[in-house]
Amino acid sequence: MLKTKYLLTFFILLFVLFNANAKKEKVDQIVVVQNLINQAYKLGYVDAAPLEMDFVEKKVIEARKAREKRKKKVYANLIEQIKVDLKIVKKRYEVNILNKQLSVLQDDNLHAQKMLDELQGQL
Amino acid sequence: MKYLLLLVCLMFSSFSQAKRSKDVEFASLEKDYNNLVMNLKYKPYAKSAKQIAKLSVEALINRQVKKRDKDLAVYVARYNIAYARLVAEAEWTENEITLEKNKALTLQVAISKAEAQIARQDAEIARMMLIAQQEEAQRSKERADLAEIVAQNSLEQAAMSKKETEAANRYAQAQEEEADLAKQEAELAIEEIESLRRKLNSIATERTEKGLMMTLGDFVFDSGRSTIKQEAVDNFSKVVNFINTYPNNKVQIEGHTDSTGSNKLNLKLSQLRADAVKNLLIKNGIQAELISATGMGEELPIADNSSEAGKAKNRRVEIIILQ
Repeated sequence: MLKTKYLLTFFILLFVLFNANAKKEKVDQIVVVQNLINQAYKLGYVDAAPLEMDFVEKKVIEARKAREKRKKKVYANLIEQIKVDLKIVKKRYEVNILNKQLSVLQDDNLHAQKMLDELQGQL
Repeated sequence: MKYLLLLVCLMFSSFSQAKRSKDVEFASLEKDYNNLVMNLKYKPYAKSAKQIAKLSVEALINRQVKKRDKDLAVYVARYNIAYARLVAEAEWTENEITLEKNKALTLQVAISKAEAQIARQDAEIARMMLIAQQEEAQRSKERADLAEIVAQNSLEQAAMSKKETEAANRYAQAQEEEADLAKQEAELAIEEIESLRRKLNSIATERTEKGLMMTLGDFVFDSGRSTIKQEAVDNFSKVVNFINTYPNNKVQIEGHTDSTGSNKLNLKLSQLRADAVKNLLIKNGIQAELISATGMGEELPIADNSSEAGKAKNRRVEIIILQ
């Protein structure tokens, strides 16, 4: 009897924990991803990688559908894909900024070199 | 049995196709990864990201991934490769940016140096131009000074020319005056000659105790001397004719002076004048033995010696045709 009582308590606890974690994960991951997407838009990442952002948006829709259909594996995969896609988007954005900086510096240096050549021509 | 065999074949075919598809996908991933690591441009960069990509690809190839996680693993491996490429690109770009910044710094330094050098050149040119301007100003001043000197010289020359002209004018005027004087002198001389001639022609004779006497005034002689004026010589015919009227009579010539000077000198002068008249008469054909000449000095005045008119009368030579 006592053994059954402990076993029952254990299963109840396990059930509660499992349900609580599952619910938390479901809500948190989609919110996290959405927050990341919103931040990406806000920071202008979409200009750096519009195609990737389009895929991300589609994957978010698919993830929502998977969550609704309780396809946990698909949902988890999609969430993971969205996260890595957003990392790529962010990195591409950073690379773009760096390329722009480089381009400006190269232009400046080209101009400076031309100016130097002209000055040396005057010497 | 036949259908079962067909089903097995289909399953085998499907399995082998799936396997071939997986192999192609892995090969594609491996190729992707190899392209990344073999890219010389990005070789030194994103080492940890490349390592992660390598591990994820190797896990798939070595079948270390559970079958149910394979799709996600493939996706993540592809992501890791792409991410590593982006990281490498970012690091390469950062490195290029650093190089460009260094280059910009070098260029800026070179430009500053060149600008400083040009500024120094400009300053040197400005200095040279200033010196040239100063030299030009000095030359202009020298030219102006020279021009002033030349102008001064010209003025002086003009003044000298003016003076010379004035002197020439004065000289010409003096010459003219001299010519006038000469003319006047000539006229005077002519007048004097005429006067002398008239005087000689108007000489009167008078009868004295000694005989007929003709008196020659001192106008016949040069002033203070015993020589007879040439004009008187030329017009002496009346005297000669007077004497020739009495060809056989003796002629006495007496010289007289005024009281000016010493007796001795006056005596000598009167004698010399009497001799001069005698010699002239001889020259004009009068016989010398008939003529006697005596100097009387100032002893026999005929007028008062206190006045010039009296003195003039006393200075005389008397020609007496003795009876």
